[in-house]
Amino acid sequence: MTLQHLDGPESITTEHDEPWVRVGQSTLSDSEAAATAATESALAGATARLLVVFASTHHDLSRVARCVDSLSGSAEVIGCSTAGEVVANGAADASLVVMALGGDGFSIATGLGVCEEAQLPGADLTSISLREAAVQAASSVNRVERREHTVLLLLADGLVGDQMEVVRGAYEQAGAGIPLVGGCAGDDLAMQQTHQIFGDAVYTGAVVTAAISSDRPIGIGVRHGWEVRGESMLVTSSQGVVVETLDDLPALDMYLNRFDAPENVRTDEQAFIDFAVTRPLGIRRRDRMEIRFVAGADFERRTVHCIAEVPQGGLAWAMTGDVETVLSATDDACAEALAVLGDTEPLGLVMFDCIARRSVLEEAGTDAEVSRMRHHANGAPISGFYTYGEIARTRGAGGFHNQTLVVLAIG
Amino acid sequence: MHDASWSLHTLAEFLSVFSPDGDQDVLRLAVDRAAEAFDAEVAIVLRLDGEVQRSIGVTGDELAGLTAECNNRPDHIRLASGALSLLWAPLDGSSLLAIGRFHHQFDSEERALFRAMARSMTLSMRLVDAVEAERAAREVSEHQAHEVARLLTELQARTAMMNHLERIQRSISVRRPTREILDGVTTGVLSHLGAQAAGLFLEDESRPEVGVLFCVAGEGSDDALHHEISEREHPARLAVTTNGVVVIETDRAAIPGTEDGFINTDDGSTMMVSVLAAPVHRNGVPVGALVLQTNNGGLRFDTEAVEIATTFAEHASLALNDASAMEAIRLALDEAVHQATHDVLTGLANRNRVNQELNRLLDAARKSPVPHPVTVLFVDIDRFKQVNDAFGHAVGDELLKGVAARLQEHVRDHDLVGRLAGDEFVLIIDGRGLADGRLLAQRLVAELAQPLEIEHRTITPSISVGVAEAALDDDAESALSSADTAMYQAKQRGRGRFELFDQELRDSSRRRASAESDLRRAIDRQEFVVHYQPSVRLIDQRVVGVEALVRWVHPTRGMVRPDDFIPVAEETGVIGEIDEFVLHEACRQVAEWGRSDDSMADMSLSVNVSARQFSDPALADSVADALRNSGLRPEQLYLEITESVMMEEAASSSTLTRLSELGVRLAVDDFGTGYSSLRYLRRFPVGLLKIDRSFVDGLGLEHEDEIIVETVIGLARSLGIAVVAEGVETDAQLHRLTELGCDFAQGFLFGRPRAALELPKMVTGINSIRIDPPTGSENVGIRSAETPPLDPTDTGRL
Repeated sequence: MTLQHLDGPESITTEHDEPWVRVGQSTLSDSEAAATAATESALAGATARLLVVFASTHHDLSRVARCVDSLSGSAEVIGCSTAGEVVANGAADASLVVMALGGDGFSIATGLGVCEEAQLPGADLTSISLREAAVQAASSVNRVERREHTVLLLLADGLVGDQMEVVRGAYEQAGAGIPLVGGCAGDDLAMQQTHQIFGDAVYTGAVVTAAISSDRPIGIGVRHGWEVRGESMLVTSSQGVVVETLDDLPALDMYLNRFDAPENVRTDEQAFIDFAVTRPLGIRRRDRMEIRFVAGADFERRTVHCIAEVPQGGLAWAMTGDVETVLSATDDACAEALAVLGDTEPLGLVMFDCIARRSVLEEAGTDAEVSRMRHHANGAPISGFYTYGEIARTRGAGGFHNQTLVVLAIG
Repeated sequence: MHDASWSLHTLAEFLSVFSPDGDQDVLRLAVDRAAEAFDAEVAIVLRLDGEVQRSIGVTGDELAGLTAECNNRPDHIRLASGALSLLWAPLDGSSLLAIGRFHHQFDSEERALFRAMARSMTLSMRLVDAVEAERAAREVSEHQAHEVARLLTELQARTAMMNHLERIQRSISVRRPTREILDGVTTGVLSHLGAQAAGLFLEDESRPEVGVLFCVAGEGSDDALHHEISEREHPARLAVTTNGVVVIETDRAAIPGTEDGFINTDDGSTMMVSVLAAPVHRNGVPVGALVLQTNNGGLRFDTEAVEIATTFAEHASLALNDASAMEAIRLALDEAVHQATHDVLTGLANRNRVNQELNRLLDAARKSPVPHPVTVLFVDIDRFKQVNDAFGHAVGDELLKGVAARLQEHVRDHDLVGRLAGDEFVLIIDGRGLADGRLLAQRLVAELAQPLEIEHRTITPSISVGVAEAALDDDAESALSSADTAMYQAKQRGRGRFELFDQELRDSSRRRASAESDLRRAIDRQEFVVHYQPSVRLIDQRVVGVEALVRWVHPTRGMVRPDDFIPVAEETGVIGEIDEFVLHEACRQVAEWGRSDDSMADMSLSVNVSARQFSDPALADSVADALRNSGLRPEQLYLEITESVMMEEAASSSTLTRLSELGVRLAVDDFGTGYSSLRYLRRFPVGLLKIDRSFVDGLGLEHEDEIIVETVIGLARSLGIAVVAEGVETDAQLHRLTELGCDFAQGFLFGRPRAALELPKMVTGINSIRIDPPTGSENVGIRSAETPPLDPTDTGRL
């Protein structure tokens, strides 16, 4: 019910030259009222270049989108639904957060790509289509006025297809020179449908992007904080995101046993989903572990479903985490992002934090996490949301993550 | 962080992406996955002329700059974005796959992986082409139907091969034993190409110019772990030296190094063979080859076969790139060779190796233009069994190790020391004769008598050594046998010494060999008989038992004295059968006597048991059999062993337990002459002590003998054991023994041992006379049972 002005020291600026970042949040239950409040708070009368909206699915996103867009002036608007929102004074649910970015030092271009098939209920999505959507959305990099530092911010639909294809498609457009950062929209753990906002419209199965080019550095940090539990398992058969067998045994059974799942988890689908949120799989990459979020299972076929490809022939591990490991990952991710800024003070931090990590932290831990972020932000405004997948590519070609914290530090 | 299993899994993942459906954008998959696998920013597929077919990561000028270099294929290139490290690999003969990475150079493992990925992709692409070709066939004419069928078969084969490769990946990933993995490679390539045999060849790092062919699969391959190949022209070695695939089609006999076992043909006929060797790498360096052979114009090694073989070779390379796998192979090879030839406990050469080496030296000696002696020392640890029994096997093992180490100290580096079995060792001294062997033996006997500290105990070993210089026509077995005979002689002569196998020993050993065959023949012809010597109770001078003694009635030599054949029988082991015979026969006889004559119903029977028989675990069974078959009561039977046998050849406790359970007792023969442990008297079911005749002889003459006799009787009495005096020949001895309280007596005073037929009469005779103590005079002559009986009512003395 409160109106919040969340200003950092550097964000009290004139409308004219200096780049700025401001965050507004509203916990009002009426969508329009909340959208209005949050947007006005973020703009504080200034003209922005970009507005990014993180809205709970409690809200009617269509109304939110229209409202924000109507208040945006000349700013581009993108956004998505969440599994929780984050601002400097803590995490919240059922709220609405708007991050505004403005000033002469920024150039912005946005893009949209929609997976046609995803619009049809029950359609079987092929990854080509998802990739094409990403390619299309990422064309914003071609339209943005290039300054010294450019990143591509993406918001995608985590419930649709192999999210790695989103990254591949975006990379195809952006190339090696432009880092990718962002996250997958959520729906408060319902796992039914998420939404993306572009301008005044709402989509599902879409990829929305904002190419942000700046005179000042922009940093990206990535950490997950999960640790290996037990011995490796060979992915003996898998089809894309569906893991069929591990060590030649049904994947679901292996998974349940490896994590000592209680009885109800073994039989009830929702119980499984809740259980699996904090129990991801890890895949070995060249010099790190990539985490795979376990989104669900097929109890008939005894398969386990992730939201990104689990390659056949690879080694997988059960991953486990606790408050300590998750929080220490927070510190490291913030530090990594801020390191890129060098001496430049951050204007704002944006976090894309996997819902799984929030589940490990629970309330007290979540507060602790945001508190640590505040510490790193050193007064700069914080915004972000709890995601169903995170995107961060600073090197190499891949960049899709699960159960991970991605921090965007805007310098 | 990445290690070999990373590269294998990455390859496995890469392989699994490509399906044979043909509806994939293979090039897109290739660039995406290749870049992701290596954290590379750039990936390109381009034609050899530079035309880009697919790319990610760079565009425009940078891409153009990169493709311009496709002929040079540099390791790195400087672009506007930064310095890019590059890897290139051919695809399908007409294209190239390249990946580039800004932040890290590629290491050798990544290079190997990339090569493998490119090659796998090539095969996949061909697969896809095959499917396309099949789909493109519209009219199903006979020709085309055939074509389709052929392509389908090929498709299946490739899919199967992909599956097989994937299986190999997996086995490497989960760390299956290296041998199993490499077997998978050889059997895999064999089954896919239809060759006759496949093997993996690896150069031996420690021996230049030599390599080992192993993991052989296919027809005619035997079970031998390895075949050495040293011929430089062998295809496998050529593949290594040229770092390229070698294909040879020729007359089999013309390929050096194949006679020995790569493919064995029974008839040894010449035939046309094709051999393919594809190099196998480790860290980019060729270290061996995958070798295939086909016979008589079977499979021809065409381009495709070369391609497939190369793929499998690269899989083997990946396995070998795993440092630990390589180490494991090397260790396994060394281990296998070592184990096959060495004793586990002491590390010395084992019997196989000793035989092998000795034969080799003897061969060489025979061929030598100048005399070249080879001397063998056979070393046996004295009383080893006692040490084991007394202190346990751990100490026994340490003793063996200690002796082994000491033996090794005293020989030259190239002289072989081996452990044959148990506590037997062999030293082979090449180029030295008997005199040198003697000196060495002398030194060894002295040096090894030094005490050893083993687990806080001081153990002073002693060895018996036999020295033999091999005869010109000796093989390993006969040379060892000669040294063994000399060693045995050393034992016979008291142990802790050495003996030479000289002419005398040679002759006596020949004699013994012939004696042995005589004895065996004698058993077959039943030339052995049992004679019986009565044992008299001194209280009433009645016969209470008999001792069974074996006699040999030779058809031409007549009665052979026991001294003339028992030792030989013991040495050769024939004694076992003789003992068996005596045991069964005597039991039968005495039981029969008991049934037919009441006065002999309680007669005891002493049967001599040799050292060998006593330590035989089957002894108890044998005794039980004899009792059962004869009907003799167990308490009637005494097994007679000499004191020294009781001490040295201790029967297993289970034998003793069983004998006790049966109710059979032991009689200790020649008591007083050996080193008795009183504990043994308690431990064994001893019922009788037999005082050696030497002490009986001294009664009335040697004071000490009398004391000994008295002591023994006292000892026996206090232990509840009966005493028999042996070799009683005079009345005076008889009476003195009676005075001293001895229980029984045996000897010529009562008559010589008799054949079964005559014994009952002898017993009657003895029972009917009484020898009284002399009155006044000292030495009374021998009285025998043949003298007329005295007055039976004369009670005489006790």
